[in-house]
Amino acid sequence: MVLAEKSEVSVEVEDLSLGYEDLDSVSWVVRNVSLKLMKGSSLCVVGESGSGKSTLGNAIAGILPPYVRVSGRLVVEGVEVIRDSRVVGADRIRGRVVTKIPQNPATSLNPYVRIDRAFQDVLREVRGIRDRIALKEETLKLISAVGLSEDVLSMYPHELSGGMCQRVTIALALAPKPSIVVADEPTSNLDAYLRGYIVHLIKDLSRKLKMSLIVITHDISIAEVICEDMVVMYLGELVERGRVRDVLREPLHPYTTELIASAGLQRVGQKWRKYVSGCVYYTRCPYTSDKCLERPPLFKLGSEREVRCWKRL
Amino acid sequence: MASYYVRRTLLGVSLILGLLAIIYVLVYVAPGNPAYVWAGKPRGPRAVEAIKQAERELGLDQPLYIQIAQFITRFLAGEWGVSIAFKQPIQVVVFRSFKATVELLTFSYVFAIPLGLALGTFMALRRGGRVDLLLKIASSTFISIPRFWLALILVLVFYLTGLQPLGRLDPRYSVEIKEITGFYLLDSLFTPRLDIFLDALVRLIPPALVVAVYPLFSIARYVRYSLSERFYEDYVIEAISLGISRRVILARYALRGTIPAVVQIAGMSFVYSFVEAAVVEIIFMREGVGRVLVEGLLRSDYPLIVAVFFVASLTLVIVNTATDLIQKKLDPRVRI
Repeated sequence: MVLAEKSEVSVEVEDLSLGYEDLDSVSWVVRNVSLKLMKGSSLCVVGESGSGKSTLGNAIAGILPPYVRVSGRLVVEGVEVIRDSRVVGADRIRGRVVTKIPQNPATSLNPYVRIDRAFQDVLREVRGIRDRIALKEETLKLISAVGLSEDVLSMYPHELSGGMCQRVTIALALAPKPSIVVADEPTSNLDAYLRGYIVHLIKDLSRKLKMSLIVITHDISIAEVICEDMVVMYLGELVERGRVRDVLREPLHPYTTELIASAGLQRVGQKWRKYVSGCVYYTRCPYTSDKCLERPPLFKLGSEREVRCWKRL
Repeated sequence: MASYYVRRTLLGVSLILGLLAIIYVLVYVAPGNPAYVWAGKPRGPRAVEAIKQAERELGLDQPLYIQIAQFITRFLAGEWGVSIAFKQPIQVVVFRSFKATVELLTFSYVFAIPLGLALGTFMALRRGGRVDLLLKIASSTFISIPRFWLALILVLVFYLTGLQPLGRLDPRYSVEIKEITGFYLLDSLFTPRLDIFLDALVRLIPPALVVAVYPLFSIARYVRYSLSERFYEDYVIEAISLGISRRVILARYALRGTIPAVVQIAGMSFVYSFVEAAVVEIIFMREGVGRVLVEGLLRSDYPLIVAVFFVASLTLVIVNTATDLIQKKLDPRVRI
């Protein structure tokens, strides 16, 4: 099968928890997540705002802020990034093996320099290209890979449209030749037409360049187009994992069912989303029983499926 | 792009014309009766006639807008009159003192701006730490400390070290120096006379220190806060995620964003420093615009005051225009 070829592990997450320091407490936004990503495969992390998916993505991209608290283990392309409650190797992976496609392309480009300068900074600093002609050639190659013309290079970010900005940030993320790309809500600021274009662009590029791809999104329909595997997160916990087609065809967790059933998910008030000691989904789940007051473990169903729900016993 | 510069320059020119009109109204129309003074403060039966005569001579019988137009025309033609206080042509008095002040201010700012940037960056990189706190307290203290007091203390300190901080130049040298630009530091280097240069430098440093305090610490404070915020801007985080080195991110991404505002702050405080220079010049017994203004006010030397106001306002307009143009150059997003 396909799996056999991709036996090398690209990202390994083991019992990872991530939290942010408050004044005197820590709010944990990712709790005990474990997952594996094989080389060259693609994974969608789906969940609503506040589910911890972006924080998980930032950890894999190596850009956690200094006030973060960690526990568990994170290995990216053989480099230990998090070990023994400490971030140890973030600077060794970021830009070297993993890059990130940002959520807000318009504000993610340096507003004071022209686009070609942004490319030169990355190519010089990360790839070590010094030669002017080589820089120019490489920049052109990158910019044409995302379907933009040369004219863009002499422009400032504020002169570009949202879609152009997003394509520039994608090209920038490819510039260091990473083996993993983390795309954090790559389409959330785009209109419907551009959304489809960008999704396919990211998918095609990651296939062509044989990169592992992690797409973080609240839009479950993107997962279907772009990824092979998916995990569903809710309030910092991994609630379901599986092949995208299996999960979409037969969702096991009630939250996944709800995500699929409703394109426009009803917002639930903050007090309802408070973390309780039992199942994270308890306050919103239509199938609750007394058993749900106890936290369910991640049940394994075969090698590819996992779900955190008592209903599956 | 070009049209921005043209428009901004035209705005500057019209500001200068408007300024002259306002100065005329303020100084000539508001206080007292110039015709009465011009006629020699006459008394007796023919006094009214004499004052009328004086009004005609001064052009005060004309409508106000004609008076303003005449004043502006004469002023722009270079007819500034003679100073009553100094008994010299006003241009000579104003420009000599103006050069002294500009020398002082430029010297202060050449050091204050880069030092302020460096200090602010240093604090931002150590934000929240003990060094940051100490420097924050120090900068607040220095910004609010009365500058005349600081000047007096410096005079004292320099006297104790045996250096002569007062005046602009040793009287011996002021005869010897060849005036080329009117800026003594440059003139002495062009001549070249190293001894004069050193003397001018030693006398320039203490007043320059006092003038530099405000821009240095206000820039440092601004850079410290602005830079700390910039570390969490999307484009900085994006640059970090791409693996660009700390040094380049600091210089070309984070610090780059604070520069346009620093230019604005420097420009605004440069104008403010003119006022401060007046105090400093008097304490250090230097010639300068501020000193000339005080002398002129004490002796009701109206033509001189008008000229000083004009030159000071002209500097304000030029510096503001220049900072706006520089800002446009530095930040591609600026529009008017």
